[in-house]
Parts: sequence; C-alpha cells; structure tokens
Amino acid sequence: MAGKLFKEYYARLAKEGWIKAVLCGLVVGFSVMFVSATAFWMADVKQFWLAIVLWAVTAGATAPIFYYKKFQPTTKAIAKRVDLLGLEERLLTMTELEGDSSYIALRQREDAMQALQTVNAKLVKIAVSVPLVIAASVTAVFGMGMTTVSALGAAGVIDSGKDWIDNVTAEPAKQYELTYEAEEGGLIEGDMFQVVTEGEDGMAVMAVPEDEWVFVEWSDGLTDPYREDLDVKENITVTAKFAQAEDGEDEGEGEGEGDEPSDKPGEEPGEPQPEPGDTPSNGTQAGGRQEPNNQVIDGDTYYGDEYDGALSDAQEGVSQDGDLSEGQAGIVGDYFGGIQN
Amino acid sequence: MVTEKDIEQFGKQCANIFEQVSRDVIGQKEVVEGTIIAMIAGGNVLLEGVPGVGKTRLVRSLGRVFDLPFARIQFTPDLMPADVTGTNIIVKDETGNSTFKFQPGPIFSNIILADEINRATPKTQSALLEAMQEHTVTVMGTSRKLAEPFFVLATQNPIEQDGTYPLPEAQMDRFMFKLIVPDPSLDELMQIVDMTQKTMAEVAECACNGEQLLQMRATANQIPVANEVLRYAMIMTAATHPDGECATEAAKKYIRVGASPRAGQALISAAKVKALIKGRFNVSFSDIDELAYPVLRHRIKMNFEAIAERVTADDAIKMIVDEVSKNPKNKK
Repeated sequence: MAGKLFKEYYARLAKEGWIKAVLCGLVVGFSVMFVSATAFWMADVKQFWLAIVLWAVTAGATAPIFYYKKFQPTTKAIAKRVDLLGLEERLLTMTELEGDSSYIALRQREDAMQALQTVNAKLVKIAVSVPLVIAASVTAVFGMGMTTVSALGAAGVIDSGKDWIDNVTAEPAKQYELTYEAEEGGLIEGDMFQVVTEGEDGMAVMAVPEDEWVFVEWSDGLTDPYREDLDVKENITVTAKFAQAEDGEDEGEGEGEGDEPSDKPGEEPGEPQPEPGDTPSNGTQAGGRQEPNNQVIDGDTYYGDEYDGALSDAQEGVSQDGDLSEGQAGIVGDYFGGIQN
Repeated sequence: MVTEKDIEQFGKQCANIFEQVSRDVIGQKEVVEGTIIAMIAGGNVLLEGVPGVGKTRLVRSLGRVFDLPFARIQFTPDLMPADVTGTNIIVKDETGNSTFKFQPGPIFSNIILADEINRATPKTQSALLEAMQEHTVTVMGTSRKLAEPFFVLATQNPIEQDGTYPLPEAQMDRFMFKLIVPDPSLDELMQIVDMTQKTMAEVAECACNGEQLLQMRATANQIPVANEVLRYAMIMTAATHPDGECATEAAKKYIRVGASPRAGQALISAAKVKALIKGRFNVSFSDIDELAYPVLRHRIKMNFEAIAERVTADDAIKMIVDEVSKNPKNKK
C-alpha cells in the first residue's frame, strides 16, 4: 500500500539513486583508469587506450551494482525522505505499522495519509552528496591525467616511467675538488677552488709571479704556470712555487756597468743560446722563468721589440687623441708603464 | 486496546485541563504543558524557580483540575521521615488493650506537593524514594500501596542555598521532569496582579478524575514509536555519557556523570503523551529534541570545567541535542 502511495516519490528518488550510482561507478572507473594508465606508463606499454577501455567497462559494470545494492530507494527510505518535508516521522511510523490492524495503527495511517496530501513529489529535492561529486572529479582528473601521460610516453614525447625511474634512481656523478694555491712571491689568476664532476675538465688557472719574482713550478712538478686539469678523476691540490729573480735575470733591464745593455737574449753575454728545437720545459711560452730564451716569441721574434713598437704606437695614439683629457692620457700612460715594468 | 472513544476523550480532556489550569496560572505555558505531560505519563515533577513565580499555585490548581486528594508537605530541616510516611501509634481498643495502629502520613494522597523539598534533611528526602518509584511505603516492615494515580510535585528555590540539602542523584533521577519556572513577562505580571486583586484562591474546576487520568495514560502508552525514533531517543540519552560509545563532544568536555536509563524511559513515555496532545499518532524526532531538556537537565552532573566556564546543564544539553540531531547516522 505504501508502495502505491510513494509511486511519484519513488520515480524521483530512483533518479537520484541512479545519479549517485553513476557517480560511484565513475569513481571506480577512473580509479581503474588511473591504476592501469600508471601501470602502462611504468611498464612502457604502448597500448595506453586500454586504460580508456577499462574505464568504460568498469564504470558501466559497477554503476548498476551500486544502484541495486545501495541506492535503489526502499519504502522506508522514501518515507524518511518525505518525512523531512515536515511530516514528523508520520510516514516512517506508517511503514513500520504496515499490516497492523489495531485502531491506533489505523488512526496513525489516516493521519499520515492526510499529512501526505499536503506535500508533493516535486518538493523532494534530488540531492547528491558533495564528497561524492568531489571524489568523482578528483579521480577523473587523476585518471585522465595519467592516461594522457601514458599516451605521451607511448608517443615518445616524454620519458616512459621506466626511463624516468632509471633517471631518478641513478647514482649522482662523483665530484672532485681542485685547489690551487700560491706560495710567497706570486698569486693564482683564475678560480682557485673548483668543484668538477668526474671526467670533466677544470677551468684554466695561471700562476703569476709578483715583481722581482719568477714562477718556479707547481708542487706536482709541472713547470708551466698556465695549467688546465683535464678529465678530472681525483681531488687535486697543487701549490705554485715562486723564487726571487736574480739580478739581470728579470726583464733584461739590468743596470750593469759597461756596455749598453741589450734586450735581445742572443746578445746577452754568457747566456746560453736556445738550441733549435728547444722548447720550454713545460711546453708553455707565456710567462714562466724569465730567461732570455723565454723572451722570444715563436722561436725568433723578440718580444721586447714587439712591445716597444706597440707601446710607441699606443703612446702616439694617446697623444694625438683629442678626446682624452690630460688626466685620462696620464692614466693610460701609467698603465702602459705598468705593463712595461 | 485503544478505541476511537479513548482518543476522542483524550483530546477533549486535555483541552479541558489546559483551559482550567490557565484560569489560575497566567503564562508559564511550557511549565504547565510539561507538568501535565508528566502527570499523564505518570512521572514526578521538580519545579525550580525563585519565590513567587507561581510554583505552588500551579500544583494546587492541578490538584483541583484532576479532582484528586491533594496533600502539601512543607519541607523543613526538622521534618522527620515519619512525618511524611506516617507511623504506628499505640491506641487502646474497646476492651482497653493497647495495640499499634498505623497512622498514614500525608504521602498517602494522590498528589503530593513537596514544597521546598531541598530544605529537609537527606534522611527525610529519602522517605520519598520508595513512594516515587514503586508507589509503595514501607513502615515498620509493612509495605503499603499508595493510591493511583500518585504524583510528587516538588518545588525548590535555586537561589537561596543556606540551610538546604541538595537532592541526591537517586532522588533526582526519580523526577521525570525538572521544569524551570521563569519570571513572568510584563503582560503576564499585569494579568497576575489584576487576577489576584479579585481573589487569591484557585478557581480551576475539575476537568478529569483519577480514573480518567489513568485511562489517558493507557491511551498515550499505545502511541507507536518507530524503531529509528526509539533508537534516536536512546542515543540522546547515551550521548550524555562522557565515556560512552555515543559520547558527544559536549559530554566529553563538560559532563562528569551522564543520564541513567530512566531518562530514556522518561523520554519515550513523555514523547508519546506530547505527540498525542499535538494530535499526532506517532512520536517524532522533534518530540525527543524538545523533551531532552526537562528530562536530562537534572540527570547530568556537570564537571569542574563546566562550572569554571559557567556552562549550565541546559547549555550542555543544547550542544548535545545539536550534535545528535545533525548527525544523519543517528536517524538511521
């Protein structure tokens, strides 16, 4: 009897039940989609579309199960919902008293029916819980997102899960420290402390002697003041050693008595002439011990002459440059003097 | 078995009772309704209010309306249990032999007004325990049944505490309702003064006798209660227990001792009467929510935190009702 009375309400609440069941089915479907798409991506399986098929099958199969097992409206559930319209549990009690023929039960039924006349099915709002909608939305985002990732992985646009895991789990390359120090009499030009990944090259540094000092060698025996450590496989700590220049050894501008001092190494009395094929001990031609043979560029050009020529050109240029003030010309002159020294 | 006539009579008599009481008591609708519900349901009532708000007048008026023997006991510190229950006295018979004869006390009446009940010692207060629960009185080893219907309507003043003895929990639990009698509004006050200028005596007339009252109780008892509603009422009772499975946050925070099972019984009995008075043939969740206050307020013991924060029993009950009613699981 109650079933007849609740016919209109049943149709409405069945609609609500189906909406809820479909949402629950979608939650399950999207969850399966997410899991399968993740598995395909991780295993580098190219058939990502299987995740979509699994979603459709799961959602389609579980929605009716949810409806018939959980959301199909029962007489009691309908009575409770209609009672919420202000019927004060009249219908709920009526459904419990169904089959009772006592006078009080009859009166209660009459009272409930009378109250039922005051409401209609349209007043029962279809309500879906917010957490269910949120769950469906979240699983949809995750499921479709992961399927997209799986598709991109299959197309080679992004790394597959396997590659990604290899990259993430690969051990980081070892790093080594390069430390360059200078003893008294000079300094290191360049980065004195470097961190280099194993197998890579360090940046070049130069041991530069101070005035009246000359570079001797690095503590590891290299004699070239310029060094660049290649293919680093260990920590390196080296110290540049310097020695005070002996008289006449440096710059070739000694103040000896007698003859006009000559800048040319070949004319230096008592100095050994470089033999053809001689090369500097560490293969460098810039800086280093300031011996006469080191003052020769490419084997036969004496750099003193080159410098003097360049200096006079520069000085002439400065003197003729009307844009330079007297002060600026003085600074440039001092700079050239410094280089000459 | 309830008949159509019983239902009709219930409605008529109820309307008549309310009408007659309203001739003596101005305003206080909730208190009057609560007291009548408790009397129909067969419960005792504790009325709490400051002096002069009409507690005693209400009880006297009800005595007239129900046309039942009425006894008033003014509780004082020197009142003895025998003064309430009665005692055996020595009497001489016609032959001159002395024999014990039981002299019934004022409790052998149908409606007892225990005025200022908290002024008597616990020993005397306890004399009412058996009468209130079992409707019997035992004196010198002999139990005597009290006449039905039997009610104790007690009053107490919440302000004046000097020389008073707070009612023990066992005594409190035997009152179906504790009703707070509020101060009358300005309009009600004007009507009260106007009415009492003419006469101080109650004018209510009999609306229902004892037998009819018992019939009304039997009719109300037949009102069906859906399982969900019964469960909801029991959850409401259990929700007052701070350590119970249904404990609410308010109970955990403010209550030391929750309500006894008598509270559950009282809720359902009273809800049936309330529903029938409203013309409904079933108990609703809202009946339980409304009756939670008079049924539970004297049955819960507040803890120190509640006292420190000035949270009253009614405040705690409001929180409990809100929490229980808003949880849809409690209505399944």
